[in-house]
Amino acid sequence: MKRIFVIILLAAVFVSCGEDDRTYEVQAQRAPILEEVPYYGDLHPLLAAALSEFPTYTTNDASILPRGTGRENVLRVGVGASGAFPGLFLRTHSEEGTDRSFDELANPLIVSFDERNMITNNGIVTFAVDRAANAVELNMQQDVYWHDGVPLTLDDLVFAYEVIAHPDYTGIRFEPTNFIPNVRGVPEFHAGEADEISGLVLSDDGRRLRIYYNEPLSPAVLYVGGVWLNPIPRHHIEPVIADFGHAGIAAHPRARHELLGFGPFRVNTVVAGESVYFTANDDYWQGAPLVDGVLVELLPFSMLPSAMRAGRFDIAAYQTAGLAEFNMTAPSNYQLYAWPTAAVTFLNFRLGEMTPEGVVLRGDGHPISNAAIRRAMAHAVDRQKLSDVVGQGLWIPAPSILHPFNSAEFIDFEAEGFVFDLDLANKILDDAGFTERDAQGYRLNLDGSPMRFTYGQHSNPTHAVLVPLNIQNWRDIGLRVEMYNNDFLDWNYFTDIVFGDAVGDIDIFAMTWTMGANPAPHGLWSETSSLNMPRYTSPEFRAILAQINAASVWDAALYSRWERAFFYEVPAIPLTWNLDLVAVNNRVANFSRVRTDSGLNQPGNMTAASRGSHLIGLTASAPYRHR
Amino acid sequence: MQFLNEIKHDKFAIISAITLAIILPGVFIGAPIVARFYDVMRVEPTVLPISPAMSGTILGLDEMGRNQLHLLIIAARNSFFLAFCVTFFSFALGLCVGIFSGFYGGKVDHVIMRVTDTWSMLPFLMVVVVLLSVFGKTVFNFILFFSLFTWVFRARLIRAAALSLRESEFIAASKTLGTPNIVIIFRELLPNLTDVVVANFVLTLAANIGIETGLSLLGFGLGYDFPSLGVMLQNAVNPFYLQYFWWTWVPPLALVVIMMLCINFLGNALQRTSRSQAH
Amino acid sequence: MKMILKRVLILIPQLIIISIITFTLGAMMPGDALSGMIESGVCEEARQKQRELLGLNKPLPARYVDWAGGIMRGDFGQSFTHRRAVSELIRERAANSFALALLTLILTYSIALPLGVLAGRFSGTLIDKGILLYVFIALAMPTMVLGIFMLMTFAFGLGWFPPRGSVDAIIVAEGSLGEILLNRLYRLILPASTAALVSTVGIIFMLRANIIERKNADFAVFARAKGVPEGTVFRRHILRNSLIPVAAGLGFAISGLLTGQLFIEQIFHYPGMGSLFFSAVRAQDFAVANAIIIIFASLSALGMMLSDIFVMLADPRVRVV
Repeated sequence: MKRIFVIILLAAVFVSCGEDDRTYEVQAQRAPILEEVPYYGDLHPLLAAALSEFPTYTTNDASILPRGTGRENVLRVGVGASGAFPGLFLRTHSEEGTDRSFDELANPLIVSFDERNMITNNGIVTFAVDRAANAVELNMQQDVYWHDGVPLTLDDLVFAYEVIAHPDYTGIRFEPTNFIPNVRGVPEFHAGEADEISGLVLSDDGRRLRIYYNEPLSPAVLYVGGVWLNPIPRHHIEPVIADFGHAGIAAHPRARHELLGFGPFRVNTVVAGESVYFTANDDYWQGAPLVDGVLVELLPFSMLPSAMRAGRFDIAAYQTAGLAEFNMTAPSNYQLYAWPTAAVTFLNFRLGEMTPEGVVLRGDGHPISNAAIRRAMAHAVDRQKLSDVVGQGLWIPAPSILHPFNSAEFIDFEAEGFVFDLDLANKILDDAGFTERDAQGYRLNLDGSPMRFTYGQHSNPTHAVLVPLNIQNWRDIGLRVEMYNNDFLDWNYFTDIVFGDAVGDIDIFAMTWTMGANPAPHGLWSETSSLNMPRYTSPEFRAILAQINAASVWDAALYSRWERAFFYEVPAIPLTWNLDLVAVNNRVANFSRVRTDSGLNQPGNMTAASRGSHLIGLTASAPYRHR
Repeated sequence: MQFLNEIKHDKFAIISAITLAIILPGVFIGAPIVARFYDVMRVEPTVLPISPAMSGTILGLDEMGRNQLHLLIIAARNSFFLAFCVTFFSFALGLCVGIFSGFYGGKVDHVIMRVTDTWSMLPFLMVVVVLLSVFGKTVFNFILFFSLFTWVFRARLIRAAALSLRESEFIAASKTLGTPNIVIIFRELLPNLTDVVVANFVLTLAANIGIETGLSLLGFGLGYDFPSLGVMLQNAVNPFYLQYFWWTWVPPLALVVIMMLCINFLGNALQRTSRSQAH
Repeated sequence: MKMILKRVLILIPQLIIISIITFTLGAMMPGDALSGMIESGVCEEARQKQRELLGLNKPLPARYVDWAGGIMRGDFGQSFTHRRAVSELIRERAANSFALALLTLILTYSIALPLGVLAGRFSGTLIDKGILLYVFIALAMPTMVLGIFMLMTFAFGLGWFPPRGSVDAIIVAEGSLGEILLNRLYRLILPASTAALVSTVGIIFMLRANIIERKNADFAVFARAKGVPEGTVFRRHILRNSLIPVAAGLGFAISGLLTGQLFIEQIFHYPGMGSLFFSAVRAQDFAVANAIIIIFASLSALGMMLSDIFVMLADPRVRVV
């Protein structure tokens, strides 16, 4: 009953404000968003329990500020970052997370997706996989326009492929996970031998596109984040290439503050490195946004909760430390929302190097190559403490290599992964023959030589706790682990080392993957994937992966065989499953942590505001302050 | 001694001297003792820092479970040690160059002064930060780079003093007597420079404590490997900690301010001594 | 006049030496910071291509010539974290830093001059003691900590000022020029006043000492003996002469200001060259870091030159060259 009342109220507001009929119609369609959704039905029970502590959507019944109010009707979003953002928004060239989340507001996905991040067909474009032809077919089913009025067509998507696969391309998107190198005709195009990509077949009206691939497609393409689906405006960027060449795209304003998008908001002003101001796009195909604009400002994570209390932001994505502060300060002006992330942190062991032919295991006889040592180390990682301390009840030790979005068929909720047991770890090492110790108590190698492991890591709240804790626990089982350079590394430097292949520099490091919901191990663990961080392969791994790839559907039995092999050979240790936190001021209406088809925005790892951003409304002239 | 007389009249200097006499030996003796009997760097992470009341310790624990009192003692000693070494080596170098330049004068002086002038134009803090990030943040590097870029300021000061002393009578007398220059330098020049040098040393020491604290606070100094008061103060940048967990940042802050103030007061007393002597 | 010209000419070799030193520093650094976000991964070919593009494989002297030539043209190279020309980055931030420096300078002297004069004039009295107390505390308080306190009180506690940022994007988009300037000024007040509170120390000390010295000097005693009222003695004789060294110190104040601003910008997250420098060092983006070092060094050199010139003009007896 209450729901209908709310709908009528909203409708009344808009009718009385004299909005045009089209907007009013779409309003009525939006109402069903406010539903109760414990929709991760087969979410791990512990995570589900943690999730249930938080509200799902805002229950703000007050009337929404009408469009045209001006500065008061601007959604203020706080984003945590430790430095400035580069400001390169163009999706084909952006390299940094914050930049990409800005682009999400201006350029939503052209496909819709469901709660499993599987692509559905309610978006701008339908998506179908033709296994027999080894192709993917896209059909435009809506009329969408770029912010300057030019119609969006699939030719713009073709253009994106042409830019990325171009021999002069300077960015980092030409890599296997988005399947671009796999497109038929791309290798020739990339080598400069062809003028067009033969595998991209576009209809004459630009509304139908078939993409043919060279190698068989893995089921990963069914999920968001697989195939590259971000168009860029040909009419806007091609002149830039004509004047400055491909190398000049990244520095040009059209890739930055003059970004052209087709989404609910367009980039208006960028204050370099600090904030971005978006204004509403009234011609957005799903209806004009309810707010006049969005202002996104950067602030260090530690200051976000204070800023929220002071009423500076409507929405801010917190780190889990924000939960502690929220509980302690009990603010009256905002709420916390939580949802599972599609991210898993793995503690990797560097076991080899990547060559053009694939992974080659390290041959220096380093003890890390001994699986017993890795298993013992795995049992000495106190993931529960990590979850309790850093996660504060929002994290659980990962029971599997997959992450919470995956179906329960693939995950055994009873499993515990590597249990923290120092006695067991010691026993494993003793049984494996590492019984001799040196004067300080560290175990010696089988041949009597001392053992040393190097742990390299960048700094963030998780690792600030995890690294000293791990080193300490490993010391307790007799293994000497030291930090690379005796300090946390800068992020860029860190990724430089771990993506490069200097074997012997860092033996242990952790990396977080934000993954699509597909259980495909291929992307991360196959012997040819550059994302195979442990640089590990084995006959067993190769056999199972080949079987999985050949199958046409996901097979739970196959998958659990894979996991068992993984946990036995331990190239990496999955750490925790996390819930993400977002703080939302009480003046915000229509915010829901659950947005899929209706939102058409990516799960996003930064600006929670991008979730169904055109639906969010504000009910007061400024964010409420904590009294 | 003149200096003690000077202090006697200055209330602040007396209090400073007493305070330092308590703090410095306290931390220098205390630190090795603490390090021996307690595993200060052992981490027992908890969600939030634990207050003194809740944990039963005098100054509470931080969010990694480290005892703040023990850490404070070690950090205070480290801060002072670092600042002292930096000041010492930069003075050592600056003394040599300054005396050489001031005493010999003429062309040599001119050239050396130009070099030091140019060298001093480099923003030393920035260069040190860059060098540390390239070559590693070790104690040795820290002291090395800092001294390498700050000696110029001492050199200039000492050179000025040496220059003016050079004209004085007793040195001129020694020269006419034919005493070798080296001997003059050691026997006549140096003792007369002592007052200026010592006063400046002390004041620079205080400033260096401040600089090192600032750098470590930003994360560009040494880390928990060689914790200093600045490292402990990193918590103060976090508004949450600033407001709710006073025991993580008030003690180190208090110590920094107290040490700097006391050293400054003593230094000023010394300066007044040297100035009055000059007259 | 000739001397001033000489002094100006010395600037050129100084700048050259600075550039060589900075370049050597730069060459020692690991130059390849190319990397990508996790989600995309990086392939070897792209990285190799980047090395070529950025010209990181040539021999050292050739690189110096390239680099120095570039600097003369205003080209400081590319920043790999920001994917833009360094000069563009710096240009954006320079205005911010300059505004902050200017306001800090104005505030510093507005506070320091009156206080220094008061302390000197009424030395020994309560006023003087009070001012000295303030000075000592300011001396002992690390800039960082004062900054944190100011931030906590005024930005978060009272909410009078925003905790970061140089200007509000909405106002830039929609406000008039006046509004924009006002907003910038408003956001500058907190960092500038913090910086000013700390940098007044040296000036107050020096001014006070000068005044005290001259108060007891011959000409002052003589004037008083003549019967000139104390106030006039002070104004006409003492003040003017005391202020000259202070004015000469302006050059030093400016270069000191730049370094002090480094900390202030970090604490208040003010997007100036200082915070750009720190984030560049953290990211091991040394092209940017070096460019900023060279700029600061040149400004220092310039400042010193101005100081020397001013001193020469004010007091012809002095020879600086």
